[in-house]
Order: sequence, then structure tokens, then C-alpha cells
Amino acid sequence: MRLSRRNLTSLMIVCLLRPGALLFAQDHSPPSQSIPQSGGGESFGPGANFLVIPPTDFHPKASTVTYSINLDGYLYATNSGAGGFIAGVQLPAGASVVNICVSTDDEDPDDEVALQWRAHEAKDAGGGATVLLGTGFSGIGATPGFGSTCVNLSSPTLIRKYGDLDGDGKPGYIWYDLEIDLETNTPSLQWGPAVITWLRTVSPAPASATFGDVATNFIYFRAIEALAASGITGGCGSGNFCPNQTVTRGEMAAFFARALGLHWPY
Amino acid sequence: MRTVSAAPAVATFGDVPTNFLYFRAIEALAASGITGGCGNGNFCPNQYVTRGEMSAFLARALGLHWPL
Repeated sequence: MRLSRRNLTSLMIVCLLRPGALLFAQDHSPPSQSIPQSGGGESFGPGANFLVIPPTDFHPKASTVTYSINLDGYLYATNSGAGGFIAGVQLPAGASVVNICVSTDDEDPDDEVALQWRAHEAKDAGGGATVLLGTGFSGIGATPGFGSTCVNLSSPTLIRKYGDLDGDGKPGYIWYDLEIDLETNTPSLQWGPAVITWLRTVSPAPASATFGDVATNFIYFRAIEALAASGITGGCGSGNFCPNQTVTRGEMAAFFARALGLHWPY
Repeated sequence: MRTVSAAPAVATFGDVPTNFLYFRAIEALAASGITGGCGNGNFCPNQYVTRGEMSAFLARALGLHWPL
């Protein structure tokens, strides 16, 4: 029995509800030269994803601000001074970050909240690298009360797991963090959570084709290459993909099981 | 458990009315940007899927990327 579009749609819903699925589909081995190293690929759809980082996930830097945790989950300063707090940001490779905001409670007009959004490359023999991707600030005179302090992103951040940030010719693994810097004149300044808005994207098309019957100008070339690179399909044999052949329910099951990494409970 | 959005009040596609069997699922796909339909405001819900079309659906749904 063949699969109609409406049947497929029901199955596809599973994917929608699994924002982290890409994380498991990716392997983190160094990319080969034939794979595009830059370019975000188009993002699509009105559907945005939100990564909410709880205040308690932020770690204190060296600081003259002592702090505590409210029962409502917020961190708050217990003295006046300056200090910083950092949280790692875990997103799948290929995520396009479009907005970053932190909930803050500016109790005093002299309080200040500043944000730094950064990428780090792991250290190698030539040292590591840190790149500042954006900053945000809520300063003196801001209306006291709960509000948002947001990062001004000049362009969306495409999340990568591996690359050469410092241009030393030695790529390394990459991670991201968000720093909240505080200057508080009252012990009551509160902060967190951070909310990061991101969109899924599909890789830009590679230069050469994997399958004999899916040329670089084929309408679904880019999508099919993305599936092949992720190990979800190996084609239909003889170096082809058979892109115009209809999908059977059995083939569909194989695609979904691989795409989602389906497993028995264990 | 995972859940699917409640059905909206208004239909996006001319050939997928609110009482269609898969209305809710198709609307969820459209709202997520995974499908824009088959043209002319329709979705062609009873048409078969080709392997190429399925690749587009899957790549968008999973946000597939080269290792980055």
C-alpha cells in the first residue's frame, strides 16, 4: 500500500514536537571539504522555537554581588555591587538564533543589566578563541519593575559545533554562552530566565550531487542531499535516489525510524 | 507524551476543510512552515508522496544540516 500525503502528514507531526531531534541526527566528526562551511540556509515557517534557560542554570563569575534564589525561581542580589553570571546555551547545529532576552527586575533607576552573547572555540596548541556575537543593555533611568533586557543581534547566529573561529587553521569544537552582568545599588535586583528564540534551517546545497538521478538543479536537490548527509537515506540502489517514485508505507517507516532514532524503551 | 496542536477554527487549504480527517495534522504542518501546500491554495491531501517531496518534508521538519 502506498502512502498518501495525508498519511504522511500524521506521521510528520512527530517531528514537529521534537526540537532536539537534530542534535541526535548530527555526528560531530570534522566536516569534509566538499561540505559547505558557511551560509545559513534559509529558515522557514512562522513556527519559532524557544529555549528557556532557568536562572538557576547561570554560574557566578568572580563578583562582589552575593546572591540568593527566590522560591519563584529567580536569582536576586543580596548586596549592592557588580557581578556577572554565565549560562551555557545548548542548541542543535543549524539552529538560527534570532532573539535573546533576559527577564530582569530593575528595582532602582541606578541599576544596570548588560548582556554578552558569545561563541567559544576549544583550545588547541594555538590557543582557543572567543567571539562576541552581540550585546544588550538596560541602563540608568530604565523604568523600575519587571521587564526584558535583550541582545541586539545584527544578524541571526547560525549555531555551529565545529569550526575555526580564530582563523589559525586549526578548527575546534564550538560552544555558546550568555553572560549577565549586573550593577546593583539595591539588594533586590532580580534576574532570569533567559529566553532564546530560534528557527530551524536546512543546509545550503553542496556543489556536487550524491545521486545520479538527483542533479544539482533538481527541485528537491538540497533536501535530498541533507537527508543523505544525515544518514537517513542511502538511495534506492545503483547510485540513484528515485526521487519521483512514490513512497511505500514500509519505506516511510524506515525513513522515520532512522530520522528520529526510534528505540524501544530501555 | 508528545501532543499535536488543537485544530484552528479556519482552514488554510481549500481542499482540506475543518471536517477533513487529517485537518488538524495538516494545519499543524502548515503553521510550522513544513508545507506550503501543492499550489493554488490547496494541499492535495489524497495525492501520493514522491520520495523527493518526502525529502523536502523531512529535511524541513528536522532542520537537517551538514555537520556544522
